[in-house]
Amino acid sequence: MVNAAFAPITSAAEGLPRRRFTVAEVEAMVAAGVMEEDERVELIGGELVPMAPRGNHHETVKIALVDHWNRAATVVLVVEIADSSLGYDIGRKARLYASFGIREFWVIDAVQLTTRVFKTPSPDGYRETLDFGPGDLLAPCFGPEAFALRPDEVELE
Amino acid sequence: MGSAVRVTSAAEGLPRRRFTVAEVEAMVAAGVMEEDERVELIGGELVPMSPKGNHHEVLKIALLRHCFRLAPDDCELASETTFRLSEDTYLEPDVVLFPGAIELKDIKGPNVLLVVEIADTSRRYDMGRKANLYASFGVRELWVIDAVKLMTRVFCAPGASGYGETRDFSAAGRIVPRFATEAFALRLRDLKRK
Repeated sequence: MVNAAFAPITSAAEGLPRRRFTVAEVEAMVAAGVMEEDERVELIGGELVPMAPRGNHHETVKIALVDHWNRAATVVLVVEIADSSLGYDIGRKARLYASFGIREFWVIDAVQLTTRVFKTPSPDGYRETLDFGPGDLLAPCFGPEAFALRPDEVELE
Repeated sequence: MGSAVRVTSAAEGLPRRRFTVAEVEAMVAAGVMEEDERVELIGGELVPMSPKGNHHEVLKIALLRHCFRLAPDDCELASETTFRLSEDTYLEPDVVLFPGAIELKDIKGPNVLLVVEIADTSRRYDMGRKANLYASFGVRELWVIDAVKLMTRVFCAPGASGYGETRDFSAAGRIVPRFATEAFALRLRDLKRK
């Protein structure tokens, strides 16, 4: 239902209490065709926040990572690949994952290939952050060792 | 999903998804939202309306009786109607007066005669942000009545960022509409309230 001329984002009701949506309601919207199935949004505390358009760097890095990890099993780790969304991913989004108790969170800067690793989640954020350069070895604390990688060695297509 | 007020401001400061009036109508049709859920759509965002206190309801009933009794044949009156102001905005004003020649579905900001909002707890919002919103959509005259103090602020001369003219009336002041018939002229003190 979204047409091309219609800007899909808004902050018109900034400062006002807004209606909170549940995951079930958003799923029902998709089922009813109110929202497209491939609409790229996140539900944050009941609000639908469109995700930043993925830049070319982002896609390339993501594909490489998935290839690297396809050899191993599911991990206890969340990874976000950021280009234009870097500030948001290392700020608010990290606090969000921490508040949900995600034990380890990596944000990889798709342009610089630097990584910030977040550990020790608490209700108001991660207690521990570590920064890594493109050539540093990233090893997950809880996931299998096989997932360890150096961002600059992941083959970019 | 009940009638409990479910509000959030979790994504304050972030760009949020903009909904159209058509999408909200589709949500209601699909049962995602209840038909009687009291929300307004402001620039693509669903804003639950504040609960209406007793003062508000008593004054609204008195005002509606006054308007219905005095309405000439060429003037229509709608209460708490879904007033679609644009593709992504609708409000539910307490009273809207519009020319009888226009159908309810065709009312727009510039073609209504008068909008009345009755405020109790929502006074600041109704006189500030909401008034600016009505102005930006070209509503020519807006009355915001404070149901507790019985004060009225009349807004005229709409512009993109607000009204150019405001006048305040006490309960004893006689308020005469500028575009609707003079028959609707009102002194709040004289309204029979139960």
